[in-house]
Amino acid sequence: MDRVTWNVPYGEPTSLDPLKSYNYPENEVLSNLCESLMRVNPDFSVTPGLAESADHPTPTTWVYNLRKGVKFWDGKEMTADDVVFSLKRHLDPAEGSYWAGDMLTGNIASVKKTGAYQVTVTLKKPDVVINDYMATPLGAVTEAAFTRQAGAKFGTPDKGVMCTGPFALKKWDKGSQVTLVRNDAYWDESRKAKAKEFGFRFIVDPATLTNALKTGEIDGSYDVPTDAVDQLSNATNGTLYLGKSMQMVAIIGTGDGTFSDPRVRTALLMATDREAISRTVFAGTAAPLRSVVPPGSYSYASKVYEDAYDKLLPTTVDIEGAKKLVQEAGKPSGPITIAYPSERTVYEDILAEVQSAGKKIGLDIQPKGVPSARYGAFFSDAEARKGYSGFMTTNYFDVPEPLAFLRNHIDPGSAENYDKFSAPEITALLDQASAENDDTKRAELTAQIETKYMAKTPWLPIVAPSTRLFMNSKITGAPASFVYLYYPWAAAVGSAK
Amino acid sequence: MLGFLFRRLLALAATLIVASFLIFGALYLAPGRPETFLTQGRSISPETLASIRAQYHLDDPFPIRYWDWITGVVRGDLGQSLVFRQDVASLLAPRVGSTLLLTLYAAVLLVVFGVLVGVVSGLRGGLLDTVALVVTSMGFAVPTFFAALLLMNLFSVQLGWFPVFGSGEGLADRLWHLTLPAIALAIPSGAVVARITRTSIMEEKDSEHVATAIGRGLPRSLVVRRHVLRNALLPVTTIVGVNIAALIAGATVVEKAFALDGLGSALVDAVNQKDFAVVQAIALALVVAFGLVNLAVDVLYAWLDPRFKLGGKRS
Repeated sequence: MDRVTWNVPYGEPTSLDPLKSYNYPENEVLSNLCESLMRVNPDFSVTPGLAESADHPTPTTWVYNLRKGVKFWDGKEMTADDVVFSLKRHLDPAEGSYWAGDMLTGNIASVKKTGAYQVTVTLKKPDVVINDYMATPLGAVTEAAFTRQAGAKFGTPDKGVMCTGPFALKKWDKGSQVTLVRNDAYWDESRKAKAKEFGFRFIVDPATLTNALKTGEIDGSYDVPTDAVDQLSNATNGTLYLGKSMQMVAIIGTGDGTFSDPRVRTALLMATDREAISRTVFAGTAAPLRSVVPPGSYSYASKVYEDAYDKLLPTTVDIEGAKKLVQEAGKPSGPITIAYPSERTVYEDILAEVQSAGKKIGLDIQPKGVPSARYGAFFSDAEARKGYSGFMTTNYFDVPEPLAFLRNHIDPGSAENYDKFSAPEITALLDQASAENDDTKRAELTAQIETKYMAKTPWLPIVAPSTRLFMNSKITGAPASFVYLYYPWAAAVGSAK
Repeated sequence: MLGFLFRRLLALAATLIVASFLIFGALYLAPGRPETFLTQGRSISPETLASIRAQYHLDDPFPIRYWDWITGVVRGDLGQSLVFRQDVASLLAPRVGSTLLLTLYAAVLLVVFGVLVGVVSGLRGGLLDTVALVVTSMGFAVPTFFAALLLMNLFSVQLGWFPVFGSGEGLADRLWHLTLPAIALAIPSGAVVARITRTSIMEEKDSEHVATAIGRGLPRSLVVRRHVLRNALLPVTTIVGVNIAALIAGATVVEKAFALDGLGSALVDAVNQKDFAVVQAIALALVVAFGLVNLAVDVLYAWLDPRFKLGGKRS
């Protein structure tokens, strides 16, 4: 296969420096260029990547034994120094890593070379989850000499990056495409890239993307727009695949006004027909959801998680029950304003259903479109959220570990704790679970946390969308699951013949 | 003529200074802090945030930031993109060509077809005129974005004659890629130009001096060329100028629809990402383009109508 042309539907990457890669466009491309110490696989298992093994001798130490003979694209061998350098960049405030945060890097006491092929990370308090994060750009390894030399221009179209992945960066034509070229000296013989060249385009407009896929100008794309599902499932030149995902669509409560009462939030969730939303708005490509943790993310001890999930508030509509809760809450009459990015019609459709559910139980729901330009600030700026009771999100897990996700929502210091949720009992459970090495025991603790947290309905879970992948019949191999952000998926894409 | 040009260039410079201040100020006042767009809600440390703010001088007072920017622009330094950590000039340089070619292409279509349809329908009347009226009515009723989708569906997806997206490489390939976008862009303004041309031709045709000329027995073709066309084209020049300037703004929509790597699509992205320096540079470039087109129209007008005094007021 000479060349595959792929689309990144969320737009052009802004940088290919792992430190600045925190979102769809950057990670979908970077996952094929720069590898991390650990790796998330298409079945959501986490296994060693550039590390040959990860040891956990004490609750606060993680020891990474590096693979020998791994070479950067320029032929230099990867050393423990490169790994220490790469990890430490996240700890340096001057580097401005988007991955730096209280819960992850804030807990790192030191990163040291403890052998020619060994790096040891010491933590302040026990954390099992951080090892999973070593599969994200937090654990990505770039060549120290190259990175230093490029300085502030590292990861830009001018300087590019220097990594070990199955593809190397060939050319980044600003505004039009990023071209990767196969790394013929790749260390893992069995996972060498099949295509000689891999080109990324960035068509954001749903209609244009659908047309480009139907005419074969684009060979494939993850996350094809939901409006295109009907057209693409009938396409004659390719197939639409639906795969396992770690994404979920929810309304985030800001804890403001009428909506600050958990009974009101729960009532609204009970009255909302999430099954109808899955069927109509998502054309059957999403499942109604009971929790902020989508079942797709159960990568271990699934039985424990499934049992707990089944006991959560069901997705069947219960108007009477909801009315009773509203009554208990003293029949609040104030408007509940819910924001959504006005460009995303899918949210408009969801909120239309939520609004009619509200009407049935005496709640005044007011959806309000906000331009994307302003919407971004809702996630980081309390000022921007002022006056809104809630806002829409499509959230995803970085790593297949429910605990990591819940921690981000519940920890008082986390930016994702939008409604200032705080319960000392739950916080204590979080610490306990973070220190638990045994998967089943950790799952039991995490499921407890989930149950207690969801009883308050701080976020209103709506649906869990499937990973929507379209591939032209000329090509094959892209994994149909939500791993394209951190797994070198493009290497597997090759000719269908 | 030189004095006229000089005065107009001075006025353009004054406009630019005012515009630059407004552009800079508007972005400054827009809600949301730029660094929050970079981090998109990740829980990053206050030290990191402070380092980002310091790197891009986000904490300097407004007058200092404006002065730094405007003096930089004069020196040819458009600043650094907050999002891409690159010189704005090097970021935008490859895009200028796409937008320039697209608007030029659309301008040619606009002039050729708009004026042609207007002249023919104005002179001939009858069925041809009725058809032109219907078509042009549809032309300005159809939003550019919708026209883009229609053209794409018909000529790319159904017939496979043109590519769906992208700007292409090399002149021939670029023209091929830009044909549908240019048509989509030219449709609404082309319709306006056709209508105005038609009306203008009809007015001239019925005017006294034309009747006199015909009465004097001059050949019809000469009357049409000398009296009808020349006079009718005066208002047309202005309207063509205004519409060409409008193409520059309309290019944004078309570039998005056809995923072209032009300034317009860069502007939309930069606004969404609050990438100050990029928005400022593109906005300023658009003001310059607007000013230059208007200047060209005035010069052309003066050349077409010698009675029009250079530097004087048009009525």
